Amino acid sequence: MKRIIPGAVALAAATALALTGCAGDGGGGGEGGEIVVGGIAGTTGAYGAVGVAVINGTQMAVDEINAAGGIDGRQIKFVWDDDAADATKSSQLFQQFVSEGAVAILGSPDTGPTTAALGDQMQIPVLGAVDDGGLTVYPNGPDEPPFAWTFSTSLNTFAWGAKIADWAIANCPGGLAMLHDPTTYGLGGLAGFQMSLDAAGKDFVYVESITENWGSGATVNLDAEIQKIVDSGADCVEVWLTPGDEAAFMQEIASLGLDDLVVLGNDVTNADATFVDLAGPEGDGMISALLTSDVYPNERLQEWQQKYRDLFDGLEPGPFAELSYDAVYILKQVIEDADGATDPESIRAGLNALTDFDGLTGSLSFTEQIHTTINKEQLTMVQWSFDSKKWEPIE
Amino acid sequence: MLQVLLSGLTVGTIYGLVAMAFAIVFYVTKVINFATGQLLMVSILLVSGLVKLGLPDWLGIVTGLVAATVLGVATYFIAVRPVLRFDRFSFAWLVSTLGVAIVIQATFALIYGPASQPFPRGLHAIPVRLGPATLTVQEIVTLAVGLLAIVGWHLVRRYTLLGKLGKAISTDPEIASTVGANVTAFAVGAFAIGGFLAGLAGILVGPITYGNPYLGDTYGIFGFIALMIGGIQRPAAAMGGGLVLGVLSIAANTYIGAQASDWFPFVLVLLVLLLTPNGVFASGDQLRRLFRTRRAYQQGVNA
Repeated sequence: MKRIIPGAVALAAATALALTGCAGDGGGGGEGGEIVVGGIAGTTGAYGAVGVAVINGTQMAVDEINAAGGIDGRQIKFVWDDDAADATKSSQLFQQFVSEGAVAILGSPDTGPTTAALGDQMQIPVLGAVDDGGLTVYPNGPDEPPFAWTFSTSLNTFAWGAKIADWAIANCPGGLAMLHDPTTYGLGGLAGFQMSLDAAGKDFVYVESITENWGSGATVNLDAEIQKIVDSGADCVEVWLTPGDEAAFMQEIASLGLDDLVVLGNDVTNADATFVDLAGPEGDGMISALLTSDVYPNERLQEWQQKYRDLFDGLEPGPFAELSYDAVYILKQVIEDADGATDPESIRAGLNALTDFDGLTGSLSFTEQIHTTINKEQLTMVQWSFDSKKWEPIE
Repeated sequence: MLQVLLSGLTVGTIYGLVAMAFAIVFYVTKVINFATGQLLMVSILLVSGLVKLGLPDWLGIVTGLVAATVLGVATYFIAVRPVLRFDRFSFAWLVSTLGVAIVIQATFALIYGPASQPFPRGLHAIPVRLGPATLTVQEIVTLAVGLLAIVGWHLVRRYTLLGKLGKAISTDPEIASTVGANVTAFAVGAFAIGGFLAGLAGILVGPITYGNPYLGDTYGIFGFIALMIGGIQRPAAAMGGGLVLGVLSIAANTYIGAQASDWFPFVLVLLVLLLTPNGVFASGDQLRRLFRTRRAYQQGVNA
């Protein structure tokens, strides 16, 4: 979930490097044989619910592993803090956790470009909910190499963009418009769309980038954009914005009587209940994609989800909690496969060789070139039904 | 074009109400209440929370407005009066009102959590077509409230004893108090009206922006920009600043691009501060004076 502009990332990374003098001895391990793992997530701010899910999912896995004897007899010490979706804070936390002996950093879902860049510069593995994959992991585009030290189990903007674009190509004969966030989050979605559109020889009839208020949650004025979309003749519009702005968009077009306009969402539209809570009845009909494992949860996932609710006072689990839980178990397996070695290079090599890890979010693998676990084949197109209060599969 | 104008005026009225809230407090006390944006947030979140609990919309709205008003007054007693009593010319209120803003924000984040809360759509669900443009009934009500705020302020200030006393206190509180004006009561009243206007702006914008503990920053900043554009000395001028900001922001968004709404307001306020440092609608009509000065200079050169 990207909210950081590239310039800010570069500045934050440079600041951290200047402060540390290229720190990071990389030995790791912590005191008393503990394995220190750092966690960075925005648990406050308008979209803090995502960060809370990341921390809860991670903590759940850490507690389970420690209760079962740890990793090769060593307990995991999970140290985390709130980056408040702030790149500078995130870089300071990264540096702090590395100096405390963290063998890997989990996150951040809010400042992923910062943690990914620092991971490469300080040569520390970065794992889990690293923003929304996509351009955060592949800063130079999907065909170029990823950050060498970043391994995202997170939702992947490339995958969601490509999957939803495939659906739009088949179902939007009048043309497709897109409004997107200007950060790597929105640009990643745009890149995903562009991959599918290029392959089909198609293009948008209208594209516009809109800066949003990720910090305060204030919606942006969409009246002018809606008018431009209507003028473009598009019969479908991809609204790659915050869940709050997506909800506002649905309500505005309902007020304007634009009932025929098909609205498409993104990877965070259904990652939690924000969109459906805010949009109310006007949210009915929103189309997006969802992890197939969440559309058709198996027994194991259902049990896990119930356990999550029990542990966290009825809080609904979501993909960010699930994928963060997976990330900890992936780290455990990699360390065990390396006979307990926790030096950064061993962990990185293990992650690059991870094959068919049986996670809550599916069968997960990394290679030297593929550093995101979720691809479009793992997704199912869904549509929100206000009556059934469910995202119903439409394929 | 009509749609741009109407949408701009609607958004501008919200900014203008927040700017008026700043300006009325400043008019009487010469203090800027930096918690004004948070008072807007309080009214939105209280309505969201109470309606969620099953209360009727109207009761939630009344409670939200009362709460914003009371919190406005509380801000005066907690963060302003003590520092001004210690030193009348102190600027400590800069920090103390900001502190109140942070405390209110953190308290509501603790109660409501970080996620946005739905707000009753009410009149915002009813569209009204005006030729090629469409507004909702809520937006028409917003425009009417803005007009009422300007006219009401003008009538009270000009034609009531209360308004004349306020003007006297604004000019010189010490002399006003020597002739019997209760300066503290007026200060309390100003903070109450400021809180009420900010709360009202929240009720009017709630269906569009929903409720979130962190909203105060965004609307506080835009309200402050509107204040700088219109002029800090006159509350009605602050509303004018809001309308100018709203219309030009929407026009920039439409004719330049969506990204323009990020930087355009700041360019605008910079231009205003360069050309008319006291605001576009400030007394003395500085723009006219500016052009008159240039004309006189030109005539002198020609002569």
